[in-house]
Amino acid sequence: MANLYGWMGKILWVDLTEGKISTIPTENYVPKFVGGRGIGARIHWEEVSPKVKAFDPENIITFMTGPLAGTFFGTRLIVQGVCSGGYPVEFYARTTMGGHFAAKLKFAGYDGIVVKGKSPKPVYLLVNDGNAEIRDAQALWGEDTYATQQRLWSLHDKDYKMVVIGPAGENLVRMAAIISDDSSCCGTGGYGAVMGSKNLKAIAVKGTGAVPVARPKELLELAYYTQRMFSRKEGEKEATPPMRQYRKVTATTDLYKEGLKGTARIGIQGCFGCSVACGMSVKLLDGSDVGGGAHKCNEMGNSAVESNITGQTVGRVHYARVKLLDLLGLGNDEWWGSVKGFLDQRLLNAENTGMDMSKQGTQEFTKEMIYKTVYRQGIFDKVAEGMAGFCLEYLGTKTAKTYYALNSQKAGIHGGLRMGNMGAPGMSWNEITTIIASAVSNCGSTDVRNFNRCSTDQANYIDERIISRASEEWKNIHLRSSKKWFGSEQAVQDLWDWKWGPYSVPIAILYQGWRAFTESLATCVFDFPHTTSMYTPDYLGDVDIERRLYCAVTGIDLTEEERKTFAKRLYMQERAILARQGHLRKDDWFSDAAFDQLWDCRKDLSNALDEFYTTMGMDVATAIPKRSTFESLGLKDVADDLGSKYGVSVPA
Amino acid sequence: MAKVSRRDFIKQAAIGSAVIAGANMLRGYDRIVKAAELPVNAPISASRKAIVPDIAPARGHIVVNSAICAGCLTCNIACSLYKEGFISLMLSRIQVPKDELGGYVCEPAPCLQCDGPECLYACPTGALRVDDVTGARVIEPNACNGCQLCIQACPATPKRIRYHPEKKICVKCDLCDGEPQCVKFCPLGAITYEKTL
Repeated sequence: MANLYGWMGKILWVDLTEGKISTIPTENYVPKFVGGRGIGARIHWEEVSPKVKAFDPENIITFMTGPLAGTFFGTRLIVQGVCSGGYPVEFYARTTMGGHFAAKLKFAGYDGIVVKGKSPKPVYLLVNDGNAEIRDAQALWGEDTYATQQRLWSLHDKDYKMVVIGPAGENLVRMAAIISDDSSCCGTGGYGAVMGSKNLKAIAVKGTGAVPVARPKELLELAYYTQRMFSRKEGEKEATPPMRQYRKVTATTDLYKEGLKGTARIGIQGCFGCSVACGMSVKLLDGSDVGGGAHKCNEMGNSAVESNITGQTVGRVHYARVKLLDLLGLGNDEWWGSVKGFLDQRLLNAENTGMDMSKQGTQEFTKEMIYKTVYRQGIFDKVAEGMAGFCLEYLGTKTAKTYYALNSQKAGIHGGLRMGNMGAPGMSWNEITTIIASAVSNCGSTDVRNFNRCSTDQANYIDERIISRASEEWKNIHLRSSKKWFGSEQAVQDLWDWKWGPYSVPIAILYQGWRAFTESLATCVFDFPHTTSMYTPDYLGDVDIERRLYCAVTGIDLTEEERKTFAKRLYMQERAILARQGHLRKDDWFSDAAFDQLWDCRKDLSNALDEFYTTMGMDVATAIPKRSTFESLGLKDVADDLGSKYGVSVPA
Repeated sequence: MAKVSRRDFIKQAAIGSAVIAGANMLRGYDRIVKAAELPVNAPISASRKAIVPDIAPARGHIVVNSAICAGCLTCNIACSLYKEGFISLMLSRIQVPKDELGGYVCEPAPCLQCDGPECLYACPTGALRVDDVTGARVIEPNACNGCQLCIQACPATPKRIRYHPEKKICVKCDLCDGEPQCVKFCPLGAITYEKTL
């Protein structure tokens, strides 16, 4: 075996049914599938049959790191498997987590952990420097995520990093999350319930190993260069606490103001190796808080329903909600996003909940809903079945079906998750490229990113407090960015104008490819690709950094062409997973309600899909990749198996 | 003045040197006596401390601001990569203990480059010495026998010296010749290098 750099060389293989652990060489999958999402997709293809559902023991959940995990910017863990929210056909998707688990897994000696089967009793995995054991977790079953970690730290030692589930996952709530530390979270897809279905309470890892780097000096120089583009100290020369948070809204929040007053300790939290540190740590100092908590990602967005009744803006009520969700292991976006919508549409109401609707947004009301969902009481037992389960299977009313159609948005056999990513003119979150990428997504649209997300205040690239979004300067920066990365200013102008044009599909493919690579390395979409930067003379960034990081760490000189080839390979591998379940062009589509009520772009989208399939080498009528495409990507075996094993007609 | 012959001059110089060396020996002897007067259960480092000449403070110190530290461990990455050529949390010369569930409080722990370095006093081989340029308390790898007495002697928690299991020696912060990498790479500016004038 040649010397591997970046990768540790082993993937842990756990069969919970048999109670057996083995390892397989990472080199079975790399460098062809890179790591992270690439390896997870390939393992899923090889090991999981198309008929498997989320809670079947045959479902496999993969916890993958990538070659950059444990190095600069190597922040993320990628989790894949059949997710618990898919409908009507339960499908493969992916979720990711920041924090420190992925890095620790590398130091323990592994590139990933594959879990199949179902343990007869609750268990946890204990991994330490190449030793792995299945341990009894019956005494932990029922504990919240913090208590679980604390007890395992006491039992073993504080050096372990863990991924754990709370009662939500144990009770198979289809919005259950996987938690690490105080709030690092895999929320999308309800994978906490998948772990729960396997009786897997936690995975604890620690190790004294080292991540080998092929070209250390080059990596140090590249890391320094990259940091000049977006590390926080570039913009905050006076580092006085509590520092302004990554998401600029935070300085206006009540919690931040408490930090300034001294009634709360507001800190910053960063995932392993990240130069942005976007997390906001919170600890109330008046004795009303047990321990602390944190807000990450979308958790920091204010909820109007809470503000309206409490008068707070991301204050204690907000914190109490997020913390309780982290404790019980329920996804904030998944659960709160759904439940707010259900209340808004009166799918949850006074009659069917027995609750006082005038108290919506108060801490007591929210807490009651959380507990009832986690412990499956009353109608919340049906809410726990996910958006599809609640709206379609249980309620089945016109309002409920319309709500589902407008929020899941995807039509066809692979809908279900609460993020269709359909867009409409005027929306700030989505754009035409999101619509295309979402329509053709192989992961329930969980893998979609867009131009706005890459270069707007969300990602801190251009600080709107310094250069206002309404200004000419902001516009010019993004026009220059568009010219540099997309070949023309027209590209971004079309996006702003919601105009379908010659750049729509190429940019969608570009983003898809960037995302595929990011999630295989695995770095963070908040960091890369850095199209713009606040700290360069022309405010432009560098979108080639990840590729160069990969080269410096692994010693493999991957070209940009090869990177794109990998991205395409990943797309086709994932498309095959869907195709063997019967996915066709009609399933790369949105619901009638989404088109009718959001934006009727059927014709334009259809033309865009023609262009997408043609460009990517897929059959335009069926959206199945051509055999020649599979073969050009080194996936001849996939084409063969689609035909011979799964009865899918693969066009030449 | 009487003319001094060359032979006489050399003789005088030799006697003079002997007197000076003798005086130094006497001073050293004083220290040995002082060491001998220590109680029997005094640590070995105490006696070595008495013998070792005065040590100048380091000319720079790493200062941390734990209110800003986000626990990203970029300092660990930079330190171990720079010093070892690979990334290893356990071999990073700066550690970052955290209280993840108590508000994610992070307390970066660099070597304090103590004015009275117990690690140096404890070192039986003289491997632990003072860098000429920075004044950092450094371990000469070729002289270290891996006894780890320096780790035991370190008064800080966590200990600021690490044991390298492959090389079987101890390693510690040497201020990277005056350009500490942890300072350079900390993305928040939570670590700074303060030079003494």
